[in-house]
Amino acid sequence: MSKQFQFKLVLLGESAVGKSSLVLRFVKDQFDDYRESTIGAAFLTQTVMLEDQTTVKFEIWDTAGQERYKSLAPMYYRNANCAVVVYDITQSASLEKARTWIRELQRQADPSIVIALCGNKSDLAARRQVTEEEAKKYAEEEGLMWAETSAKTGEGVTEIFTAIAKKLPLTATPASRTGAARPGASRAGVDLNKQATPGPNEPCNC
Amino acid sequence: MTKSPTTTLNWHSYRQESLTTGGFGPRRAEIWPLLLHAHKPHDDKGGLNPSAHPDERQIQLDTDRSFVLYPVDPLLEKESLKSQLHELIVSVFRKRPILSYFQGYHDIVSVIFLTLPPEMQLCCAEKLSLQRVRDSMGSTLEPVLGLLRVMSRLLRLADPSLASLLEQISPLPYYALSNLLTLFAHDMPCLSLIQHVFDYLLCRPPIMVVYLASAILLSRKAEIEKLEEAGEEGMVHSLLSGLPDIYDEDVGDSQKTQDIDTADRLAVVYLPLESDATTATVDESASPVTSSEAAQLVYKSTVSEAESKAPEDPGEDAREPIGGRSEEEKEVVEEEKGVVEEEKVVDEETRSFDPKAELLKEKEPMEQINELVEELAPPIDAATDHKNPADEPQEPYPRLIRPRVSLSSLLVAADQLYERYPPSHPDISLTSIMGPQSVVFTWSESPSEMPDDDEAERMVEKPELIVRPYTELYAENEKSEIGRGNEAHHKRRRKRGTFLGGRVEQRTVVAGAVLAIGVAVAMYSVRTRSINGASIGKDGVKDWQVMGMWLGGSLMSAGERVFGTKKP
Repeated sequence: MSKQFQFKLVLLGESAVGKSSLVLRFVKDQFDDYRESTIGAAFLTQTVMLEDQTTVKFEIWDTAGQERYKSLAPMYYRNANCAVVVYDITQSASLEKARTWIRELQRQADPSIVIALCGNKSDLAARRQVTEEEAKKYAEEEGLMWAETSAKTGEGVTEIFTAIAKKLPLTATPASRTGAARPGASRAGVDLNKQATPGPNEPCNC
Repeated sequence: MTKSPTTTLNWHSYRQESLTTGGFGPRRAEIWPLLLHAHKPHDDKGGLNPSAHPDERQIQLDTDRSFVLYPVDPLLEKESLKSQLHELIVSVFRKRPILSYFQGYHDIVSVIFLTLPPEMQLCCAEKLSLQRVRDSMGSTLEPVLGLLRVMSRLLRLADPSLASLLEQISPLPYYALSNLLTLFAHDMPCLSLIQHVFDYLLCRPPIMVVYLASAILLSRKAEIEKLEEAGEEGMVHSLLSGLPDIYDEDVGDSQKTQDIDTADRLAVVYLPLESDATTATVDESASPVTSSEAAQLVYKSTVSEAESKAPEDPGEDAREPIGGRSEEEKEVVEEEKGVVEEEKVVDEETRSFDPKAELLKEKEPMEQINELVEELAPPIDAATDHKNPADEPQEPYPRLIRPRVSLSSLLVAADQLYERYPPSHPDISLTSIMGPQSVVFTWSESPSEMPDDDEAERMVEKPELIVRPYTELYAENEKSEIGRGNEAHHKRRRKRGTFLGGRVEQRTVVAGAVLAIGVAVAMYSVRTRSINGASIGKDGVKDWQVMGMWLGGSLMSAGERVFGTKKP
């Protein structure tokens, strides 16, 4: 019997580090050299199947990076099961910003949230300002997952989301159900933090 | 510029014309500066601050990725356009260093940039920023969140069942954030559409962006109801943060006549909005709209006399073939809206990573929506789609949930919405949300009644006068997180009872506080003036009026009642 999990994932990080591009690579396996800035937030989903036939559906909230949109972020990370905090390896200031986000998540988000620190633009290693060692050390100190990615080449992108998917069921109490539901048909509003999980025949919200 | 051209501006006639297909057409290059009261500068560089504005890096980041959707002309050198746009935006901020840049502002300015001649771009961008977009150019998002609250109230009035559905999903209409922040510049898929939207907005009070966003949302009821089955905040966000399929092309005579008829029927007069703190408290106790109040505030519908303008659409040839976008371009557009409609097909052989994990084929929100559409209506032949809607049956599928909708009809609907539920309506009560220094209150058809540019610039430093302090009442509503709408909804429902009970008292207190601030600041200014030896006479009266308008709303109306200078 395969299990299906549904998780809310939020992307945070400084402007122009490649949050939207990372999601676009993960969800559609595409890359645009120029991607419009995100205003507010965008929503996408992608489902990963793990080796034991477990499926993990990510409901991804991709947020705007500019500081002034920060006040909206709690809405998106509140009750998120996982967060991908992105920095740009060619901009050391963006790692500082990532640290700020991580501190905020540690303070404000659900204590069980899985946080992945993600150094994007690894294809631009020649202009690197953030060493792997520095970022990795910080991630280890804080107990975060860490990886470098390139939304442009695809390197590391699916790996990090898959790694999160593998870690999640072990750290949260997910909504699990039989695999009968067709993709996308699962009821929304499943409260992953609720212990009593609604069954597939739970009446709808109307 | 000619002497005081604004006194002769026929706002009414511009408003009529803006409702018709194509809007102002190529004449907008002359009309927008008039509507913005912008004058070509004598000395271009004179007022520019040579030191860099703190937001210039962010501006660079955003202009570097601008012009993604348009212009579509492959001959245009986009890199050069980007650097010109960057220079233009930086010029605004060096001239007005107190203003802050927000992501999305670059979308607004790109419309100015692509529409107006170079010598008019800076002055128009500056005026637009100071007199219309200013609320969003302080340090926070709070003012635009205030507009979302206004929108929420408007939706409740206009369509309670839809509003309640939407509130189950998202406590505030966050999906409309970019509509309100960028005046749709971030959202419209092509230049001619956003130009027409600007035609409409620039000849109306700034609050109209809320009515337009609401009118668009209300037009999508069928789509939204379909989504109720899915019931997912994310899905609705995806759908609604994109726009419906809007067209604004020459749609043939019958359709055009219909547009014009509607435009003629609806002739609206926008009186200046007053931020009247005392009205705010009165509003809470009044339940029905009183006719005197409606008359005081805003907007009357009259039967228009024969229009001098309109019937012949002047701008036909200058317009981009909106409907002529190729399917690929269309796809790009939809991606840009954060909407995913293609299946992710995973080729397992090419995956170099963990072969045990795989991405499943996922039906994405738009795809599911489209499937729903297809169940209800046969697909429109791709060859004729977007070419000439007049060739298509007009209302063949009553349950079609993604119909194409004409921009003019949405604009007319927004006007009607305003007419029916003006900002003074007790259940909207704009004054209880936005502060006296918000552009929604300081904007006026007459430049002499607006704060001057320097004053306007400084207003962003007083956020508490732009949007009313956020009461716990609203905080309660908004604290629920996005994406877990259903169970949050039930909690909210339970709270509705107390919601009504707490309302009157809280708002009265807030309104009183802001009134006090307004009076204090006005007194202070007048004292400063007399110390400096400024004459207080006729001009003094004027100063009082102007200050009253943007400092402490109620002073304005008091002044008007006393001095009787305002046209009825």
